[in-house]
Amino acid sequence: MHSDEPGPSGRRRVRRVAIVLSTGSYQREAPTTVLRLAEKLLERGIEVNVWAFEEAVTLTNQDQMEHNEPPSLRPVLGESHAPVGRFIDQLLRAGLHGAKMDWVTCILCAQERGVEKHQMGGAIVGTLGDLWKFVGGADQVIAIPAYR
Amino acid sequence: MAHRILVIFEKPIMLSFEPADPHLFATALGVADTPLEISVLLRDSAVTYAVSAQAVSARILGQEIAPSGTTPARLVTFMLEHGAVVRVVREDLEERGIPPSDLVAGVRVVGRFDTAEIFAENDGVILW
Repeated sequence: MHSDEPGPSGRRRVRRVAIVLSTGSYQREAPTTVLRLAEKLLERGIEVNVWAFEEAVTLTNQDQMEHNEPPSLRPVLGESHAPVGRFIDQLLRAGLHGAKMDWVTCILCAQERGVEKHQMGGAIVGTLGDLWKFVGGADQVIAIPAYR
Repeated sequence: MAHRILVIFEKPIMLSFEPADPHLFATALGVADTPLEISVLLRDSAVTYAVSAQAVSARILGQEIAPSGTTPARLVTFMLEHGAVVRVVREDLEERGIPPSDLVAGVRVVGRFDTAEIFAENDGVILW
């Protein structure tokens, strides 16, 4: 446990949260949920450690590109949309001046998908050992299963 | 050659950093930009795609991740406007407490046992 001091509500104060994420984006809502949650935790001064594995290692692929939508669908889809990596990058930078966020991608999963050398600056390629260090050092652990 | 294609949706995808479920807008593109006769069947939880009063919004660090505000209902409307037939399964609506009056205008409600005939009317079936 990082801290067992009670907070104002009498509950144990949470200072460090580990998030385990195994889904990629564009077909799942889980990465959106994780990023929104991380933002709120960082705002409250809580340290966030994200351990990304399986398809989630593609979220930090630095080669994601913003692209135009197909012309005939622009009336409903808009002109373009930002890739998920941009939001992760901004959350990592936000942590420079407040509670920090570490984002670790599983090396095995990244190698399988050919994205180990394409990780964005700020993302750390790590091991399963990092997963258990995050879990062991966290006051709270949030794991979102692969089907979400 | 397949000409009549039935596209079935079963599980909705929301707020995925795409402007909408990519399968849904891929289908809309087929409806609008190809000579294929594409129809849509919404069943299981994907019946929610036909509910008219949808609003999509999520902000991270003050930035909207879905700036176009595209909802599945808008894409359903788009496909209807481009001549597609869109059906929903009545029993799946009822199980979720969705009255037909909540649906996008023009969406047809069919019974679960009607779906076999709909399959047979088409040359190909895509299940997302």
